[in-house]
Amino acid sequence: MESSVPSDELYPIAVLIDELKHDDVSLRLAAIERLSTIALALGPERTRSELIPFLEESLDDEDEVLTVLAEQLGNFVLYVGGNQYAHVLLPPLESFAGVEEPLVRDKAVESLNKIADEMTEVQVEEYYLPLVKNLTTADWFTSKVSVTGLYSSVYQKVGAESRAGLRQLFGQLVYDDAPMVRRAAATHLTGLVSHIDKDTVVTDVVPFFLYLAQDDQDSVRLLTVDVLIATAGVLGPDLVREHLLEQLKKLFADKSWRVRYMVADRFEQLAVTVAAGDEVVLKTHFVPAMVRLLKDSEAEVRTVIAKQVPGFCQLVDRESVLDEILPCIEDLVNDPSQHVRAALATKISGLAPILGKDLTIKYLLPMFLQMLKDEFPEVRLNIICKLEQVNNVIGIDLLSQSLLPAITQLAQDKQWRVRLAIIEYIPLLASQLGMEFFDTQLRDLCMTWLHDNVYSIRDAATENLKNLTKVFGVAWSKATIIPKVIEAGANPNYLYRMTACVAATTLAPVVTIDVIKDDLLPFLNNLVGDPIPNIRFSVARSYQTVQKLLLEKAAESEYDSDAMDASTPAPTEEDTKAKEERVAEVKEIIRNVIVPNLEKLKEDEDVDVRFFANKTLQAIG
Amino acid sequence: MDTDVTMTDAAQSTLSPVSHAMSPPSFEKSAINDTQSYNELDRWIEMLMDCKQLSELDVKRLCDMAREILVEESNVQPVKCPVTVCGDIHGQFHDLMELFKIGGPNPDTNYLFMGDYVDRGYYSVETVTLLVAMKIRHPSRLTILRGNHESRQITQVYGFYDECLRKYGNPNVWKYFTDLFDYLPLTALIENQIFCLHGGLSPSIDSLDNIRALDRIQEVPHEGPMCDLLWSDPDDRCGWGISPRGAGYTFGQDISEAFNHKNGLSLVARAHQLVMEGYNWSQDQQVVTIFSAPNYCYRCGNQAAIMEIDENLKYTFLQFDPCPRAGEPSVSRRTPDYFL
Amino acid sequence: MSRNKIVQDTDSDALLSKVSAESAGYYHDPLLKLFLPSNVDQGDVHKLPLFNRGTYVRVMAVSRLIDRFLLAPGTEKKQIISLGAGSDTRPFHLLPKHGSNLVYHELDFDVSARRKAGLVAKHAVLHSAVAGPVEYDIHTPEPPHRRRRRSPPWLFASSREPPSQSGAGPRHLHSSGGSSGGVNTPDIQERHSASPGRHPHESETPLKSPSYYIHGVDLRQLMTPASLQLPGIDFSLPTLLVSECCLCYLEPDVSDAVLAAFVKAFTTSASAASSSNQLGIVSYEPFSSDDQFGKVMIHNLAIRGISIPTMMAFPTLQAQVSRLRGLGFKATAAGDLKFVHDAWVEKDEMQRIDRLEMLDEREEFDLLVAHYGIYWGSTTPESDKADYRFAGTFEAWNEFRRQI
Repeated sequence: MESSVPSDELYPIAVLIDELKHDDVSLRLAAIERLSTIALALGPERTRSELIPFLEESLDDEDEVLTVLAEQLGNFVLYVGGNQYAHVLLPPLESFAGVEEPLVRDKAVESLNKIADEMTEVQVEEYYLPLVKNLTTADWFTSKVSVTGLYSSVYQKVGAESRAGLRQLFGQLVYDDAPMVRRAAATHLTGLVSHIDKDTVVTDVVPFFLYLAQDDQDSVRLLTVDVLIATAGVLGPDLVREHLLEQLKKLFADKSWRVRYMVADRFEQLAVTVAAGDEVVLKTHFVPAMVRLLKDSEAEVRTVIAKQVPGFCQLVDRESVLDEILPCIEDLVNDPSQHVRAALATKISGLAPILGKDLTIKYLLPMFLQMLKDEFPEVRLNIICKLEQVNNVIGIDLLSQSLLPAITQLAQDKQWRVRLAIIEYIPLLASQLGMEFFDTQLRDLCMTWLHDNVYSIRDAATENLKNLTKVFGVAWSKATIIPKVIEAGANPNYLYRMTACVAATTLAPVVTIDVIKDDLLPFLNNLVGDPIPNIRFSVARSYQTVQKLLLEKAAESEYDSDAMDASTPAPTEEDTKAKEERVAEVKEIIRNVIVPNLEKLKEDEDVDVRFFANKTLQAIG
Repeated sequence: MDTDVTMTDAAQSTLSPVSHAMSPPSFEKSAINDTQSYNELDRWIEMLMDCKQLSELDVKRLCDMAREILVEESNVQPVKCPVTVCGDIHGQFHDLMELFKIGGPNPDTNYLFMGDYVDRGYYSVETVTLLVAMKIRHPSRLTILRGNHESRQITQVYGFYDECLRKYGNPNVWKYFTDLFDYLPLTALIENQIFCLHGGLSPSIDSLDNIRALDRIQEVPHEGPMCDLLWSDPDDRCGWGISPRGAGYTFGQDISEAFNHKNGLSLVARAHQLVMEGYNWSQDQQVVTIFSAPNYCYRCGNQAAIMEIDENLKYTFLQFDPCPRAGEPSVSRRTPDYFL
Repeated sequence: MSRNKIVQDTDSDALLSKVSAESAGYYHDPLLKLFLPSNVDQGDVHKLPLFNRGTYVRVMAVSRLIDRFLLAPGTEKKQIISLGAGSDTRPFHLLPKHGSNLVYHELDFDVSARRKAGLVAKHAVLHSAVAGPVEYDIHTPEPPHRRRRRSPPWLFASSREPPSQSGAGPRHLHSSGGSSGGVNTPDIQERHSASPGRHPHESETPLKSPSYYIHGVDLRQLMTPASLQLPGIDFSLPTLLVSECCLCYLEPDVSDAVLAAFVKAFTTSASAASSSNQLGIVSYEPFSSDDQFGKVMIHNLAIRGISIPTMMAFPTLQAQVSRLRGLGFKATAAGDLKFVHDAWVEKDEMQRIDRLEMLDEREEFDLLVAHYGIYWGSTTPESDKADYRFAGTFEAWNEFRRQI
């Protein structure tokens, strides 16, 4: 046999081929993953005549091997000699489409669709349609389930006559005895319908939909919701209402909660496609359906419909929102299921822009307040995370006044992740509240987090102080925050002193040289003599950050970070001189204060202290 | 630049290497005492914090280094306060990360772990490798004791052996670790007051000196004092009882009172037993059980806890729940067993 | 995976547990290994000690209840109907012991039923345990394309000969081109002979004998007394229903309907009217206790696709007992596995099993087994009695210590 590679290079290929047949499944798997290498070495002709038939016989292999194989074959057109030979890949994939393991079948279908894309109409008619027909009329349901996924791509490829045939064949799947086949048909009808013209949809697809929507099995019925949406996309609102609305109303009130779940989940989309802005349809059909679903007996249904509320309320008149929907929402705030309440909490703020300021204050605020006190942490968290939307509508003053007690309470929540969420929300709140309000209402709270017994909260608290300093400025920080940090540095428990040390270091980048020099550095210097080695090495680490910042800040042209955002004029000679003086001064501090302390720590009895002291000394150089 | 550090520390190595609790003597003279080793250890720790395992070769080197340090530690390893005391971890790596989120990172926070790092959970390899690496990196910031699962025999039943085989394709890593486990100290003594160990007391031991005299460098025996320290449980009944676990004993309040009194102790802190609240006082506050694997075996629904002891020997318990597992995609494929 | 398949797989889970406990020495059952799939070696099955011990308690408890029923005074003929029997080996131990005085029915999904009947046909030791003429009806409507052994590949032989066929274009699916040896030709033929038109809900009885029946039936089809008219079931015999982790997989209203159908069929059928209408039940299933462990259990099982609706519907032992009493099992008692472990295992036996394995997971064992209950009940006496004591054929059950 002629080969495209020299024979000595055949050796690794021979090994791979042996591995294709190896008893060890992991070796077979590895070989299959390198199938393209084998094909490339064999050349297109031998790939077609030997490799593909061999692979077809691999049908009895392990599912994991077949899965990879089925996937690989989808990219194989190149290796069998290009488009005109694409059909040789069909037989093995046809068999894989019939196996029991769904993963294998899914990959086979995926690959078959890829190959269909690369085939000409003639090839599809000659090779692909027989395959579709074989699979559709197979005995076992697995083939029929798989083939439903092929119709959409093949339908686009063929002429009108074959299309009619395909629709008829698809009908056999829709009317199949096995529910899994009907399920698959319903699933893929969604994609297929978009390729069918309006008139044919009315004559051929609508009967499919109506049949499936009345299936005994709820697992089939629920899939028809998407079919309806897709069909409506083709038909347009008038025809939809003529042919589908009655059935949709039945789906709204289906006896199975899983079907109601599905309509609830797609509610806004259904309203958009079916009602298409028609107020009468919305008011007579959709608003009552929404109300019923909001009061559904199943928590799962209420959970999904709760998420649809703001989107849907945008579509309908305010009267319906106020009179019909809001009362149901008020009930959901007290829903027995925590999941319903949590879902509502993620979305309820979306009603604020729709209702406007006054109605938000009247109706929504009380609900927020109640949900902020919910016993389930996720509910509280979800409300907090979305408060900005409300803020934009009613303004921070009103929001903060009414929410503050709740926030104060959450700041002490038992769940540390809830506390963390509040901390992360604080800088935003602060920037909107203003300094005076913050100082009286929230500042002490922020300080208590420095003493939280969970490390992550203490850590977030230090970051929070930095962000607050950015909001309110250095002077504020020096007057209010830094004294509290220094106070924390005297805590009898080393973990809290550690937090204070970290807080001082975290604050350093956002304060001025003077504050570092006058407040933070002396504080750190004090900790050099701490009895606990952990604090001493923490200081040694902090020195590295602090000395670097001192030098950087001294070299900057402005000297007050309060003025950082002011426009900076070109440096004058005076500026340059002042800068040189500042640099000289901080170098002096480093040499006379920081380095001696580090030299002391370098001789510490504790090895970790010595290590970090040395490291910082090296960095100073 | 690097050599500076080496030289400075080399100068330290002339210090007398006897019972200098703050800086373990072995560390001063060991081969780990250079910047290169520190950097490598830091790199390993960073990988392990991401739950990525080390190569087989690196595990071997890690265990060699660890042995040098552990062999110098006492059967009753003295520990200074402040320190945070933790119980069983059992390969629940992500919950160990949660523990550090609660208690603070090492070396900033000092830790004492009372054994059972491996078995049962899905990440024994990563868990024990990380703790050993941290131990080597900062020996005076972390103490690791031996639990009854740090044994060749038990790890073959409860998962660590299989996990090593699965993750490395051969049992070498299991062998390196189980050989290292022989060197782990059996007990620790915080400021001569709080006695910490995995299991409990033994009828063959009535003083700490008895423990100091044991030859611990061996596989955990099936019986005898070393076995008991790792297997025993406190019990409501007085005196010694037969343990339902098949090894060790149960001991009553009379036993722990006598032991604490004789040895001038205020408390026995131990792990070994699942307790639903994460910690549990027993025997009129003579004994406390600490268990640090939340939702143990991904099945038990329990809280975990750690005990923070500050520099004034004041203790605080911190309870915690399993870390949210959203970022653990493979977990759905491995769910715990039930009777079906 | 389909829900049925998941539930069927729980049987192999239970089987592996039993094999593991057997290997560890908790009890002796040489027949178990016959049911292991060929790719599983008995020596490779190791469950944790807590599972071995729990399995032991469950097997022991159910066996004792069955034995007391069968040994009850009055040696008249008795009947056992085992629901979701799976690969249970009990019939092959009990049938030789009780001869013609026992009729044993096993009900399971038809796939499982056929598999089991096939194994009985295959292994002489099982077949010979069944007295009298045995009638098998074991066709194999396995899905196509399900051969498991690898056939020697006919291409890429070491000689690198050109293949005999090199035609492009659509080829027949199973072109036999040189498939020397290995390809399971008979298997293929069997596949094709399977009748695809068979109605899926039809019940069948792949094994029939005078004393032993294996019925392939979906329990959800058994919600009326009429549907219980399976071959060989005798409604006049004192009968014990056995459900080991079986009814719990059905929705509570469905399992209620199934049990109600049995109660009705046995207490009102014309043939039953003459006798004392004695139907008993032994059931074993988990309950949630509404605690953390139970919640985690429901969650973990859900990840595996397993839902045990009765765990939530009847979250406590008492709820289960009340339910059975409400369904007509007037005398019903129960104990969780922890209680049974502590109260039923005699001292010597406990010492024996304590020596088998170290049980390091003691607290976990206590938690786990406290969430599984054994329930035993009977329709006699018919009137409610405050003490719920057993009478008639089931009187001997009063010997067992009960938690409720």
